[in-house]
Amino acid sequence: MGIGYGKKTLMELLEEDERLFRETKHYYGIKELKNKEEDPLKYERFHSRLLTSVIGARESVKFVAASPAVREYGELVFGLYTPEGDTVALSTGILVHVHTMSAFAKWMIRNNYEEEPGIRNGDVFANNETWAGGVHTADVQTLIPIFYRDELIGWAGGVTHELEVGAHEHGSMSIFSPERFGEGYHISAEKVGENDEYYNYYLNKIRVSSRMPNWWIMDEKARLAGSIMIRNEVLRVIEEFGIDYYMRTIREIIEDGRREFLIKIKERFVPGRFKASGFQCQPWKGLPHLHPLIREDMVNQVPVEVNVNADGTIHIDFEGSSPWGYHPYNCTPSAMDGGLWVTITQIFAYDGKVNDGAYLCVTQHLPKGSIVNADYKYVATSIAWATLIPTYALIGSLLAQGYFARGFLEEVFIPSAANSLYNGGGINQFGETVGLSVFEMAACQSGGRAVMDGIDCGYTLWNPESDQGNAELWELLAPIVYLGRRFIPNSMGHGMYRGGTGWASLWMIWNTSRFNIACSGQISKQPWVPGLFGGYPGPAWHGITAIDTNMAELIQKGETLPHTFNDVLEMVKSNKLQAKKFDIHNRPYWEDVKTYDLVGIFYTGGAGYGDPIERDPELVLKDLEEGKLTADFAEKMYGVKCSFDEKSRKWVYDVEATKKRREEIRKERLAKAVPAKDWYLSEREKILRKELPDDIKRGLRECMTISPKWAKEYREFWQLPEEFTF
Amino acid sequence: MSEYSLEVIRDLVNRKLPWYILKEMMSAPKDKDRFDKYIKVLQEKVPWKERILLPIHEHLYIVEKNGEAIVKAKCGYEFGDYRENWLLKTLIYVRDTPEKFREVYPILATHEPKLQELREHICPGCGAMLYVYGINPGGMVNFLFLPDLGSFYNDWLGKPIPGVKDQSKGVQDKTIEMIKKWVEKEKK
Repeated sequence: MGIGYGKKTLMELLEEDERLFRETKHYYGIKELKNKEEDPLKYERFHSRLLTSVIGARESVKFVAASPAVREYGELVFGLYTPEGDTVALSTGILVHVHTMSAFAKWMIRNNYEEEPGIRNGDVFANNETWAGGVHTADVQTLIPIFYRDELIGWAGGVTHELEVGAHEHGSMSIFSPERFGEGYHISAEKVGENDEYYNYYLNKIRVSSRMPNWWIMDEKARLAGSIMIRNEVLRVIEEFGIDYYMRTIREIIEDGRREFLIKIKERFVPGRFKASGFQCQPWKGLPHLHPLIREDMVNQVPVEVNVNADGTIHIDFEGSSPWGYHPYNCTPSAMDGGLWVTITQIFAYDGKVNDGAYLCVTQHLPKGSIVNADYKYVATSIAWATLIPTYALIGSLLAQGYFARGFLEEVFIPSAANSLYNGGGINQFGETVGLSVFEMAACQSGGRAVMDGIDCGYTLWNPESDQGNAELWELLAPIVYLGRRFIPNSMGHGMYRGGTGWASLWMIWNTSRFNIACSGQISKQPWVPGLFGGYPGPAWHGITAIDTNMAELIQKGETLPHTFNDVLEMVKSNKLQAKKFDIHNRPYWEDVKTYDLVGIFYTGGAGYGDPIERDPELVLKDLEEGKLTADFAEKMYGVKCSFDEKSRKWVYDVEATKKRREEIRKERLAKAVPAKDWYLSEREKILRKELPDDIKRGLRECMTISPKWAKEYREFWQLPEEFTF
Repeated sequence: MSEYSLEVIRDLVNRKLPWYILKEMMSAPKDKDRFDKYIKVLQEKVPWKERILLPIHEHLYIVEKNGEAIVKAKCGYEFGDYRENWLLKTLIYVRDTPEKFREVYPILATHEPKLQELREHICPGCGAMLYVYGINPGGMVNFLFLPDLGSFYNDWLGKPIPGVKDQSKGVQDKTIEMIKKWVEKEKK
């Protein structure tokens, strides 16, 4: 006799769940939505109650937490699950983790936690391991069972992002750990409490494993409080609706979600194949403080093929992805499933019954041993996001073509890739140890849309409720002073509707005896997400540091201080700002900094939509007014002949000259471009002669080795001999 | 269920709708006849007569011509069989030096042309920018979107592809056949 509903074991329930779907293609074999049809109002009221429980939990426990991750920028999410671990309802927030918690519950069921360590009412389980449903150490999952009388009828859980996990170089996501051993505190699918309280050992472990244990412990309490809130509400719902109604209806809701998804796909998309390739290089070679296992520049590709099938289901294939490596950018299936989840909830399943029903309509092929399905036991995954977020952003961008084709222009949207990560640590302004990841990047830029520009400073794929946090709060947490936080002109992907504008913070390190900044420098060499329909991708990342400066003197003399990247460049050029070491970074770095040093952080812009020279000139003027564009870019990218009218103190443009300039741009393009066929034939010759940079050849060779299928496709495309390799 | 007049859809296509209507459209259930109205509006806007079967780009449409489905640009340029990758029939300009990157990105942006190039695909008929993407040198030109026209019309819309002889279903990629011919011709 098991602890699950109907006295079955949880494994029996899970096997039945999977068997019924396999055999009937309906969730839990439910062919008729009986409860919905019999009393739709009751059914909707029931669903609303469950939805309210998870959203209410998230909104309430934000105020239990102490960490800036949770309080300031909302890096948390809650979910309600069936006894088998399928998602019934989810809150807003970091939606990636709705599915990762599902994977955690199923992992515990498959590994017979029912017997050992046992699952009882009031037990608390935690995890951040990739092999048990997690993504990386920073995202900590709490799950509690929901028992009605003596049967387990579901799970409630939450995830928060911990800003300091005790990693090698401070912060939440280790940049330089080639294996899991430098990633900080791993919680390995453990029972960490009972009777709704954490075990002392667990809290003590956190106290010695993180540089900021109070943040983490308060987040633990927030997650547990939220989970208990959901559990209590579910029990109230059961008292009101009855256990039979509850169990039948949570399954109907998932089947309903599955059907809604298929209807939406057929209503809004076009069946067919969508293809693109993500590419990422990380120049590691020669970096200081590097582990010897990381010895080569990283060159990774993730090809993406999305098939929207005639029955409305979707299959995504990542065949040809680079092999996993000794770097923190590897993903495991649970991470990729999380990425899929956050994508489908933004693109297709954002209203109605959002639950595992949608997930059941999408399958993925994640080649084993690749960067999207790393099979090395000790693999590092701390910045898995840097692979999975741009990959799913690319998928979103591809699928936007489906919305366009059906005429739903209001839905066409280019997501954007993750930006670089900044970790800081050392001694803070209060003389205490501090470590954190600065999560300003939680509010970056989206790509353009078919009807409007991308969002400036308010979007991330992983958390649709995006927030950068107040500058004052980051100043309180780390020994830094903000000299500026501003948009960087021209830093968007240009387009008829441009991507969101990139922005930058300029910090002065303040009042510390010892501090360091580590930066991941991802997308430092290339944009990952392409523009759509002629729009440009956003620019690559860059950062600046000025070490041993004369800032103290400038402040003392009351001189003008730098507030932007450009100010720093100008002042360095004119020798007003002096620094013994001044760097414009285009790759990861780990820098020892001290009081009066400057650190400039850039968050790049989103990709553009449509041909830039078709942009409404009035929008170009608006960007000029707002300092997001400069006049030279207005002319060369948008063909807008403009000038600043001193009298009206406004930017104006010349209609006729603009028309003429745009015509000229078209002619210039035609003159300098070559027929793609000629280009193809000459590129083919180069490839046959293997005239590619060594790193690229190595990257392609690795992909051809790991995937004979992709190798065949590559050889076929370039018409290469069968035995060809790099 | 939402329903919008032809005028509203025309305004949507012409980007004349105010935000509050766009927002309403985003939040409301989708209108069932959007595709028909959309095609009607697009057909009004193009300077040629071929029937639009499916818009695949701001500038490109799959149209019916002499019983075949081909890709045709707004300007009238014809790219041929829709099952061949139209990107390989464009003009292409590759940014592969720091100077060329700086023309389109701020001076501090630090692209690495050795590891990545920016490919710009241009319409041979009118010079419109059609697609821009970053990729490693030696990277393939992906077929961005190849619709399964047969299933779309026959199964999803419940009618045959208008005027097209081949109603077969499934994704049919003819690009490699095209490339093979190019290479064979070049060898000769």
